[in-house]
Amino acid sequence: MPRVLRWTAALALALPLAANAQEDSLSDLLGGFEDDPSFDEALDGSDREGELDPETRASRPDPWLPDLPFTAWLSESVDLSGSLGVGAVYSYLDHKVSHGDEVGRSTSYGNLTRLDLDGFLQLDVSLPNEWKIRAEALGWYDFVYRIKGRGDYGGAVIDVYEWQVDTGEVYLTGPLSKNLDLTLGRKIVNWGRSDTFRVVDVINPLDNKEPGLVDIEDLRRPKAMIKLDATVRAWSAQFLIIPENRYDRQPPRGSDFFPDLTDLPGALLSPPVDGRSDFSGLPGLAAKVDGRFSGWDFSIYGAYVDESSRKLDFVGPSALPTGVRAEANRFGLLGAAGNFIRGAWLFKIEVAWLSDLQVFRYRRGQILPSSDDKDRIDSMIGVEYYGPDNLTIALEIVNRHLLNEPTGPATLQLTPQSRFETGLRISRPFFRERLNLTALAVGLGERFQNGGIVRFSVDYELDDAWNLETGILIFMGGPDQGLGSFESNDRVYAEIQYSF
Amino acid sequence: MSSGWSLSSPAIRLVRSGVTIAIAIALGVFAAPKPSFADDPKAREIMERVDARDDGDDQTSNIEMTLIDKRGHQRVRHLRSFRKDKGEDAYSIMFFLTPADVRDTGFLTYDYDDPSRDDDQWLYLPALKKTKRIASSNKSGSFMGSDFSYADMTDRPLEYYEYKLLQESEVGGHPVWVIEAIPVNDEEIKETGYTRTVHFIRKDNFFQIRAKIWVKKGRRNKYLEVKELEEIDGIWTATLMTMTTKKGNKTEHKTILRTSDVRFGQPLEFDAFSVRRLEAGP
Repeated sequence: MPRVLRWTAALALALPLAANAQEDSLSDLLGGFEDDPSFDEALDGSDREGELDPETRASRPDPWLPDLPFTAWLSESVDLSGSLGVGAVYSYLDHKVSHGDEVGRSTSYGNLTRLDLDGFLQLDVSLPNEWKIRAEALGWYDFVYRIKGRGDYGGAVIDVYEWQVDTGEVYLTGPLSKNLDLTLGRKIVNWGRSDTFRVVDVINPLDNKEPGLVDIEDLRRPKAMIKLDATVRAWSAQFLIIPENRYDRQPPRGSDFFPDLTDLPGALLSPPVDGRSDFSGLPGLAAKVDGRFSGWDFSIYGAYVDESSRKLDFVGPSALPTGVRAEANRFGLLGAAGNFIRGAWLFKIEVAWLSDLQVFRYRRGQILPSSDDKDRIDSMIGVEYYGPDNLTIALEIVNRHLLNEPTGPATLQLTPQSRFETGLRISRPFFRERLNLTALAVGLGERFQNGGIVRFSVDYELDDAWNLETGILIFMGGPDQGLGSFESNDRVYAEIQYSF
Repeated sequence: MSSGWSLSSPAIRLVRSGVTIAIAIALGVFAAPKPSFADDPKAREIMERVDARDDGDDQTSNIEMTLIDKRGHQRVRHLRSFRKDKGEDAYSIMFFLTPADVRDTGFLTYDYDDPSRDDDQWLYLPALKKTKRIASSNKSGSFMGSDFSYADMTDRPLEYYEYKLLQESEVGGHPVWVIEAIPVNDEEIKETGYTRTVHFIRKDNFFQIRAKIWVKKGRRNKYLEVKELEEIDGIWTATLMTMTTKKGNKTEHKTILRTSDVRFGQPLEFDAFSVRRLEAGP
């Protein structure tokens, strides 16, 4: 066959093929929308009438209509939610701690160190005109003390760790006008930009009984207050009157989280453990102003409130004290905080001047009278990166600097003149956010050299109601007599929680 | 059992979830066109009409999001959403009602039309009793574990794409234009994670009722389908849609988004789109 004919024949064959290929290509390009029947049961809306938005009040009748039956009112305006969980903690480094009550006796903190049942209840009542009541209750019971023998532990340890029932937030809140809200009751107010450290966050005391493992919901202890919030465009202001005094819940003597103060006389090892509540003295006052703008924001804070840790005074002569007395100490705060966004980066800063702080003046081998007239500058810089696949990396560095404390040899060991704290958190979800991995490191010193804690945690959503969390907590030793002395407290933990 | 030094785990899952629930894809909303490109003028004109279509204002709605994995396991989220336009910008606030462990978590978003400005987003974490500002520039991640990404939920500027009219066809008995959109720069691909999108635009109302998306990572495709479209107060609104992720012909995950109780023209004031409102709850 002549060459020209061969080409002609080839072209004649190829052209329709190319046209078909183009058609196929376009068909492929536009195809793929075919439904997979196994995925489409949920699309059947025939039996979904009335259940689409079970908790959405906007689609319901006004519960405050006068002719609404009581049962309807109850279901429309009262809502009860909460959670129930079972948790366990296993300390894989067997270690002993001085018994809280008896000299020469010790408590073993190896193996199972917690097996608790915990619950949380939240009641919301909607009132007319957008007012509402919230009341929370929480509690737990730890079976480990029964399992291992309650007599092995000091009385204060049993008091703090075995069981607890407490109120959470309990308040009435609502708008006084279009731009002004009033809140009355026990409330948590979380100031500042840091997720890891407290710089201007001075309103509520903390639950520190088990560092690194206190439920986030339980970490801050609410205080009774009158709170006013006003907003006008990009500006908002908050004013607090705080009549209630509550304090940090600290690990008691006999706990493996009690600081290493072994060279102090025994009587001095029993500072107050738990945050009592009282309404004595003048109420605390606090206020802030926020400005929020495109790409940045700032806040100014002022407060004259009680310290969340109680002031410790020595009883008896300062040269040979016989005990420790706890009192409230009021201090002043003037602070500022801000955020700045640049692309995927969030920068944050906080600075606070704190005046008339109490300083627990302890130096190894030497006891000094407590002081309550120290000023301190606290500052924080931080950055968060929001990366692909919802990866988040956050770094925060804090410095706390005592202004009027002698330097050099007189530097206090529990309250050094200048202290750096560093926090690094990396988290990323997997499997459609069903599984979340988090690595968290918090350390004292610029390079974690004074002690710290590292936690790796896995959070897995079993279904809409059940959640499983497990992780490991590793303590890094160091010269700090608090966090740095917990290096034997490493533990693994797990909790399964049902939420409703 | 969460550390006092970190956000709670459900909260961490939600940190990146502060997006407008405007569901830009479903509503077929795109940013205002600016310069003209050397692409198909007819396709661009259609997309400009899509952009210009009235999508309503002062909107409230309830949203149910069902996530279905390849084993058929379902997870369901309920949200309450509020949205208000401010010129070309959109303010939105939304609250999670379920699941219980993230209840009252809220998002406030200022979605700016100007592509050079990042959206402003705040997240309220009820476990921490705290509002956090979050960065929003990376939009390729999944929204709350769904098949929708942040890019799907916010406006994409028309000038970032070249359009080509592939064909005229029919979907569900409705004549449609089939338009291909290719990002004009790598930055947009990086931000959205998409290399190509084919839009199916209904001719009668300029509503996008289908989209096929090419995902750069994993060489997957995503398929958006509007299953139910209603005209509410004169505004075409998708009340049921799905987004399916496939690799080849194999379905990996699917999200069903139901929108109900959609109301336009509600008395929403700008002061309602504030952190104070976010912290007050739904």
